Parts: sequence; C-alpha cells; structure tokens
Amino acid sequence: MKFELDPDASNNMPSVTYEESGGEAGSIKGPYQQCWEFPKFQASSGIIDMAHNEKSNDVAVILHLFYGDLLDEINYYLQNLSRFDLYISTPESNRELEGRIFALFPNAKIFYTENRGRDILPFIVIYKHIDLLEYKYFLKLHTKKSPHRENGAVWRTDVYSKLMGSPNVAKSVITEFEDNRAVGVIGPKGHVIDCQTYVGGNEKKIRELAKRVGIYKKEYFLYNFVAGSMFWARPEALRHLASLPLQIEEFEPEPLGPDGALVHALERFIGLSVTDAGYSIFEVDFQGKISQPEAKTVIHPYPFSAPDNLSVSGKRSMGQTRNPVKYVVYRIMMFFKKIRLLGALLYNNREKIMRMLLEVIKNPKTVRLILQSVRLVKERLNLLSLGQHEVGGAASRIVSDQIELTERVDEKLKKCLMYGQYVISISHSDYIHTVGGVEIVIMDEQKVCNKNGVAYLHFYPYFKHHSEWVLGIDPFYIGINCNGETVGVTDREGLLFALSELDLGKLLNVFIHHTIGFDVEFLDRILKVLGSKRGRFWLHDNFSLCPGYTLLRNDLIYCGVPDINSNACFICKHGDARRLQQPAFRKLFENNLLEVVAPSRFTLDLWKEKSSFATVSEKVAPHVNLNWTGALQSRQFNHPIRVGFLGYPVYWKGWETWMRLISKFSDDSRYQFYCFTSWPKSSDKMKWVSVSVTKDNRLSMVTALKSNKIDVAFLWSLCPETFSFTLYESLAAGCYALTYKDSGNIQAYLNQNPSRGLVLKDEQALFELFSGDDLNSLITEYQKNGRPQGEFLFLPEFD
Amino acid sequence: MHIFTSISLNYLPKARILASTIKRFHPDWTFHLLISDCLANENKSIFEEINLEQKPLFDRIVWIEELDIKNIYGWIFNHSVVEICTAVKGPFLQQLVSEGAEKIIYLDPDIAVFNSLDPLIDLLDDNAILLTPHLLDYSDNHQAISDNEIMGVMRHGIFNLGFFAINAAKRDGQRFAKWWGDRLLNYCYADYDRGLFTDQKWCDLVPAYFEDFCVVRDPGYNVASWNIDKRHVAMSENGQIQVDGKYPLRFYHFTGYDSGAGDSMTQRYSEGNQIIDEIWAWYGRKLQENEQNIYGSYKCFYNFYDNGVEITKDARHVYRQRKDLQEAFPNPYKTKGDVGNYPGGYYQWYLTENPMIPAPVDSIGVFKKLIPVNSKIRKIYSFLRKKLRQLRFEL
Repeated sequence: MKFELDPDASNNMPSVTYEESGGEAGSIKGPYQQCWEFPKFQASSGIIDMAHNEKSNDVAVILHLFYGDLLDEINYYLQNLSRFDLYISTPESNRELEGRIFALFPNAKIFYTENRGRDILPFIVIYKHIDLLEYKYFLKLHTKKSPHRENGAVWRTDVYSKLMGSPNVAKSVITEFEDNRAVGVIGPKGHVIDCQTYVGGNEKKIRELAKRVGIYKKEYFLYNFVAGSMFWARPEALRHLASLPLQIEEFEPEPLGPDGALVHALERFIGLSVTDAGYSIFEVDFQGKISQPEAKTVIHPYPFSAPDNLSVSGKRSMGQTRNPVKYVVYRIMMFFKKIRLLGALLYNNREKIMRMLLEVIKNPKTVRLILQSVRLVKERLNLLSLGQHEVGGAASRIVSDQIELTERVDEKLKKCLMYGQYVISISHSDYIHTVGGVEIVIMDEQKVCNKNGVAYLHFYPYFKHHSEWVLGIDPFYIGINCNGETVGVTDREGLLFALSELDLGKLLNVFIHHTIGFDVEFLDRILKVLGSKRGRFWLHDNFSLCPGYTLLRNDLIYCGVPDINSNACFICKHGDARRLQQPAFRKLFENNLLEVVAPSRFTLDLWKEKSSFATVSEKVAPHVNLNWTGALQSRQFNHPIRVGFLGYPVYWKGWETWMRLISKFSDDSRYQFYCFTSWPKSSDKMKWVSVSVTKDNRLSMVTALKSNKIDVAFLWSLCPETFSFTLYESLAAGCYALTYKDSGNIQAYLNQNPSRGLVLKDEQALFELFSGDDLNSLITEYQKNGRPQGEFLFLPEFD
Repeated sequence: MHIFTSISLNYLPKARILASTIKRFHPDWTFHLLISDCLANENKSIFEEINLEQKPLFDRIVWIEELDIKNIYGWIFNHSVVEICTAVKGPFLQQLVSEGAEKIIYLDPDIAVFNSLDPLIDLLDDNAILLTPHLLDYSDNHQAISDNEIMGVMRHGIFNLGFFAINAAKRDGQRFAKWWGDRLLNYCYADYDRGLFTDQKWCDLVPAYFEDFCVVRDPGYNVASWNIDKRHVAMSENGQIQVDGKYPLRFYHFTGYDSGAGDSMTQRYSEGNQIIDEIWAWYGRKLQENEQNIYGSYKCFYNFYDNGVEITKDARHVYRQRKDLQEAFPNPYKTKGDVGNYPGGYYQWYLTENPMIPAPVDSIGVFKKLIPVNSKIRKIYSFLRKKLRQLRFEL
C-alpha cells in the first residue's frame, strides 16, 4: 500500500493520489490509512469528514496533543487568542481526554492518530486541508516535554509564552503578517536558528527531501528554521511541505533518538520550504516585538540545544561534556564559514583593493612608505608597551612628517612664537586635521588671536586612546601646533622642557578646551610650569563631570549625575573611571585659578550643581547667536508636514526613536520624513540628504533644510546637550523643533521660547502628537506669518 | 561580624565580586572564604589580593581539607561539586561558632551587595536565625506557578539558603548550627526522590524546630530570577536602586549565571526592566574583570581520581551507599600508592566489580557473554561504553 501527496500542476495546490498496491509487507494500519485523503475528525457533534468541514475563523490552531496532562497549560495560553478554529491531533491512547477537550474547546476537531511521525506527520495531514480551506494564518503547536533535555519544561514555556503569552503577541503577529507579505513564518525569538550550524545528522535527508519537491541549491543549509517546530505561519509559505511525496513507512517508528530521524529532517526542511517559496522567517518575543533573526553569519547560540553544548553566553556550561566528533565537525564548518566570509569581504571591497594595488604598482615608493609606516607604528606600540592604543589616522602623519618621536621642540617653538605674546590652548584632537564643533571653535579662536598679534600654541594627545579617560599613561605623547601649523610631537619631559624655555611673561592665558585623552595630572604639571596658574576651562561637553560625557548611564539613559558612590554609578560602565577621574579634576581646580566658560546657561548650571569644583569665575558664551531676519514662505495648505532628523544617526541623538516614529507614520500621507546627515544610506521610508558642515561651509545644514522646506526638526537628544548647533541651524532655517525632556540646552531654549518648539516627556507623547492634529495646528501657527528665518552670528568669546 | 561564602575554584571570580561589594559597605567585617577544591601551594598566591582600600579582599581562607571532619576524603567523595560546596557550610558554621563568633552571615558567591547590610545586624539583636524565602508573594500566572512554585520552591525548599544569618549568642542560634550542621554532614544531597535538596530543603523545618527566628520580608534582600516578577526594581532620582518603590536593593542573587538559565528566567520575568538588564550587564563585566575567562572553566579537583579520570555519578552513589567500601577505601581518590587491599584502589574496584553497569541489551549479547569471563575485555567494554555514551549512543 502506498500513499502519496503530489502537487497539482495546474494550481500548485496539493492534491492527493492514493495508490493501492496490494498488501505489501509492513503496510500501515490504523487511522493514517484514511488520513492522506480526507481524515475523519471527531467533533463535539459527531464524526465529520474534512471534505465537508467549513472554517469559521481566519486563524487556525493546529495542536498535536501527545502529553494529555499539558492540556490545561495549552488552554491557559490559548485564552490569549481571540478567535480561532482548533484542530487537535492526538494518539488513540488519549481518547479518554475527549470529554475534557470538548469542555474546554466545544468547537475543536480531534483527529486520532497512531504514535508515528511525532507532531510533523499529523501536521502535514491537517495542513493540507487547512490550505484547501484557505485559512489566512495558523499557529502550529505541540506538547513536547523533551524528556531528553534537562530543561524541557523551560524550553516549552519559553516557546508558548513567546507565541501566545499575551493577546498583544497574537495581535502583533497578525498585524505583521498583514503588513508584510514577505513574512511567511514567525517563530519564537531565540528559536529561529541557522540550519548550517544546527543541521545535526540530518543533512542527507534534507537534501533528499529538497530534491523531491524540486529544490536544487548549491547551499542547502543557508537558511533559518524554527527549532521545535512551533510557529505562526501563513499556509502558502509551507506549500512545499504539502507537495512532498511521502510514504508513511518512511517515518521511523518510536522511540526515536534525539536527532537524525525523518521528523528532525522535516523540522529543518520547513525552513528551506519557506525560504524557497520566497518568504522570510521572523521571530516574536514575549512582548510581541517582531524582528528578523540575527544574520546567518553570526553564530547564533541556541540556548536549548547547541551542537557543542554552547550555553546562552556562548560558553560551555558547567558539567556538560563535549561531543568530540560533533565538535570537530562544527569547528570545520565554522572554518569554512570564515573562509566564505573572508571571500565576501575581499569581494565587497574589491574596488578599494584594486585601487591600492594600482597605486602600489604605479608608485613603488608607496610600498616603502607603507612599510615604514608599519614599522614606526610598531615601534611606537612597543614603546607604549600596551598594544591597546589606537593609532588610526596618526600613522600617515608619522610617515609624511618624519617626526622624531622625542624631538626637542623648544627651538621650533621659539621660532613660531614670533608675535611675542602668546596663548596656550589644550584640546582632545588636532584641530587642523580634524573636523568637529570644538575644532571649529578653536580655529576661530586661533584666527582671532593671530589677528590681534597673539601667537596661538596648541597641545593635543597624539595617540587616541580607546579609553577616553587617561591617567598616568607613560610614555604620553603630545602633538603640538602653532598658529595653525604642525610643529611636532614630543613626550612629557620634552614638552615641560620646551615650556620652561619660553618667556612666560608673554603668556596671556591658557585655554583648556577639552581634556579627553589628556592626562589631567599632567595638565596640572603643565600649568605649574607655566606659573600662571590661571586658565579658562571650557565646558564643550560634560567630560569633567564623568568620563561617560553623554551622561547616559551605561550609554542608555540620562543618569542625572548622581553621587559617585550611588548604585547608579556603581552599575554604570563609566562608574569606575569616574571614581578615579573626579579626584584628579578636583585637584586641578584646587591647584589652579580656573575660569569656567559654558556655551549655555543650562550647561553651566548643571556643572555647578553636580561638580562643586573650586572656580575663579563662571561665564556663559554661546558659540553662535541668531539674528531674526525675516520670513520664508509658509507651507502650503494640505501639503505634507516635512519632518527632518539632523546630525549623526546614533542612539543618543534619538535615532532609535526616529526609526520607530518612521515605522509608525511613514505611510501616513500627512508626513514626509527626511534625514540630514553626512552618512547617508538608502531607505524608502525617508529621504536622505547628505550634509557636511565644514570649516569652509558652516551653513550647509541651514541651506539644506531651507531648500527641502523642512517644517519640523527632530532634535531628540537623549543626553543633555551642552550646545546644540543643530538647534540653531534648524531655527535659522525656519523649522519648528521637537525635543525630549532631557536634551539639555535644546529643551532649555525651547522652554524659554515655547513658540519655537515643543518639549515632550517621552516617546508615547511624541507618537500621540503625530497621531492627532496638534502638530498641524502648531506648525500652522508657527508659520502664520511665514517661517521665521534667522542668520547666524558667530560670536566666539575671546578677551 | 563574620561573613562567609563557599566555593570551588571556578567560582573564585564570583567570590571576589561578593567580597569587594561587601567590603565597600562593611570594611570591618571579617570575610571567610571556604574553598572545596585544591590548589598546589605555589599557585596559592592568587589569593594575595586586596581591594581598593588596600585591605585584604578575603580575611581568611579555609580549604576543605582543614575542616574537622572524620574521613574527610571519603566524605567529599560522596558528594557532587554542588553538594559538597553546600555541605561544607554546616561544619564550617559549627567551627565558627566554636571559635566564638556570634553574628554570622552566609552569602552565596553569586550574590552581589548593593547597599549596606546594617539592618541585618539589628535584626540579629532580636532574632537567632534569619532566613529569606524564595518567594514573598504568590503569582496567578500559570508559567510563574510552574517555574517558581511547582518546579521551584516545592522541590527545592521554601527558603533560599543563598543567605542565612545566625546569632550564636542566642540559644536557638547555637541549636540551629548544631542541627543543620549535623544534617549536612550526612544528608546534603540533591536526592529529589527522598525529598532532599542539599542544605536548602532542611530549612523548611526551621519554623517547626525553632522559635527565635525571623523571615526577612524586606523585598530588597535576595532579589533573583525566581522572585523578580513580584519585585519592582527601579532607579530613584538620586541614583539608588530601589525595590517596590521604597526598599533599597540590599543584595541581588545572580543564580544560574553560568548555565544561562538565570538570564533566560530573568528575561522572562523582569518584563524588559532596563535596570535589571543593566545589573546583569554589570555583573558580566565584573566577572570578566575578575578573570572569569581563567577560573570560570576550572574543574573541581575533587571531581577526579588522582590518575585524572573523572568520577562518575554512579561511582559516587555506589560508594555513598556502601559502608564496607567506605571502610575498605578511606581515600577513594587514590589509585596508586597505599590504597588498601585492592590494587588500583576504589577506581579499579569500581571498574572491575562495578555493580551499577546494567546488563547489556540483547543487540550486543556477544559482549554479555564475554564480559564476566575476562576482566580485560570488560575494561575495553567499559571504555567503549563510556565513549559511546559521550557520543550520545544509548546502550
């Protein structure tokens, strides 16, 4: 006797052929005899034939109830689903549960099976008919206890709660299916895993199954599958499964091992089937958040059964033994995966590599320079004897300048300081070769000084350190610029000696712009040598309050700068560094007479409240002011409101909130979304505009905002900004600003000038604003006399 | 004030975190580190460590061999690593009491202290025994009932023995140390069939046997994955972590960190609580700083015979159950030298006479016939059987 499921060529829907080949040895008896055609189901009203079954809802739940004692647990979870048709397959031995099942689910249909093919065979049987009945979506469940796993119950409840743990989960799954036609299957988060890694002993069988339905691929295993075969799906995504010609005898009789049986191959084949049908497999978590699983190139450790007993953390758990054969196979597989990735890397960067090679061929000197550069860098790393310093862009300068590391710079400095009077400036970077807000301020400062006949001497840490907080690093190298030109590089003693040779009587002031990467204790020594003991300390950011200068606890949420011994600092990744850094700053302020200059009142107030360092005086000096010059044309009636994200697309600038805003409202015809950044990418949900603010083109952001007629500037900084250029740029371009309550000087400005923007308390308030009509009214009101236009007044404060 | 914890060496990074977090608030408390493991003398310099205030992190280190326990090696052999690390708590508590210690706190090594434990000192003035229950409130959530009640406290005990405190100056404090210590000497096993779970299940009897005890109901103590669903952890404006709005987080129990179960259960029940995520991330960072990559994979010395072969669970059980074997092999770890009347010691006895190897199934009937005849073939069979088991073949 032979039963086959064959695809119907005309509509690609599965149909059934039934071949009677006589009483072969080993033929199947029992309920499956009928099931390939139209299985008989037990309903509360009596036995029904699936041929005459009618669906009542759009959603079906297909449950294989092997362990009857889990019925109550299933019932508990299913209460979170509102309306569904329930199909239960269960072994004959569970017939006594019938009354209980119908008491819980009066409309359930029960299909009695023999104990063969685990949950997969009954599922295929039922699935065929669900497909015919055209359910929109279904949920496949079973009651696996996995006694071979120690954590079988944990595994099961993890899956159940992610698939149907709350009404929200089901709701968001259905919404995702409706919104995204490409999604075929949604599995529980963490259980959608990479087949290549977790193919186990099923490789041969999967290849064979694939060939049966005409899937021929070089890479059979480059897809994900849902481990445990419990998932939400749309029926058409699994059409290969129904068209699979299978004989019941192929399913091995119980008991099965933990791997290598046909059901295990089918578990993985479902993933291939979905992928080949052009659908994706997504995953859903407890809260109903739907996402794509991690890229296949990432080794995705499956917490419940990994090939070499990988635990969640990717490390082997205590007491587990490693299966040596599987481990070796796994390592070999990983090796080839790495080779493939390397190949992809080379291929993706082929143009860059070709350019480099051509360059080398054209100019053999380049090779020498590169080698020299490598040698110098190595020497320096050896000198630093740490191997943890980033040399980055410094390498090229080392080659081109041919600077001796510990060269005495005093002679050069003397020549540079021809003006007589001079100032010393200290910051975190080489402002001549680096672009940034602080660098622009320093450059302005230098120009003003030079214009007034004052030389401008600048020091910066030559090596960028991974840790921005540096104390007692030895040797410590300092780069030196004078009047906008590179002078050289020296070490601590070289600099102190050079300074001691200068005419200190002509030193007007010391400007400390930024101390990231600068040893604060050494700074104290510099000030001591200079003898002036006076200086101006700038608060360009909050680095002097905490090395985590964004003031985001664990780089996540505004911390409020609590006491250094608080729990918040204790669990923060910047806490330990802050405990070392704060005493050094305290000493710096105690030993020297420093004037503190903040670019905004908010920043100064925060700093004074949280630092309690001794200062001579304090001052607020904004980098720029606005001169209101007139009005631009207002938005035309009924035109969409144009909303723009300005600046770096990073977490602490509110990028994640922005992306959530876009995913909610990108289809809303009332809005158009723009992103103005120097790192444009492609996206169909917003328009990307490339903007680079440079020393020579400081108004490029304003120009871009104006030309794109942006109505609303999204300035959702999660951390307290000391001075937000983007605020002034957006106001100058006539934009209405939206910001978050912790955004520092942005919210401070808008709270003082409420007509120019809105401060919102959280993301929820933002979404509500966009859902309703309030934003439209606010914009209309703001632009009633045209968009207010401003002009930048650059007013760096130099006495 | 005396405080102690119990580890095998792979838990050293955790014990360091515990000690440093305690010393932060209580630099004057005496911290005893009890180690159920063994390390060559020249390697013991790893314990010459100090905390930030230039004080020793561990005031006293006690190795299991130093405990006054009769036939110590046989006793250790009876226990798995988890069992032995809990079993030693009893005898060591008795030792501390006999040395004159009064207020004594025990904390599991996978605990970290976040705020002062001073309130415990006050509680010990009025009570002889302090215990924290796993759960302070029930949940109606089916999953929580299953995980935390049915699979949790109903199997493992009402109180979590990751923490207890006694005042030995009080009568019930002394009685508790005597009773509990004696039980742990003889019955500290994870033997669910007999209703035992190491040192913990015993304490279900405390409310019956002792009057002078206190259940610490402050939710700031012993926050862990089992109770996180009923404890709201948040950060106050001044940067203090608080539980249920007003109780400072005193200590957090990172149970199941290494297996991943703790993280998985915490994620399930903390409902995306960012503070909990941050606390776990902090613990992960601290473990790395404390050389988890080096010590985390240490295998306990007492898990192996002296020839390097790992001791099986069956071998322990057979030894544990048979007094005659305990007498014949007082040090069952030894396989060479003076090992008694049986060459190769208990190791060899178990290999050749092992009563726990079940009769082979019919499919390998040929082995069945050969095995009793020739001990060499039997050894080969045992070896093959072990290897096949490692390869997940079931025999």
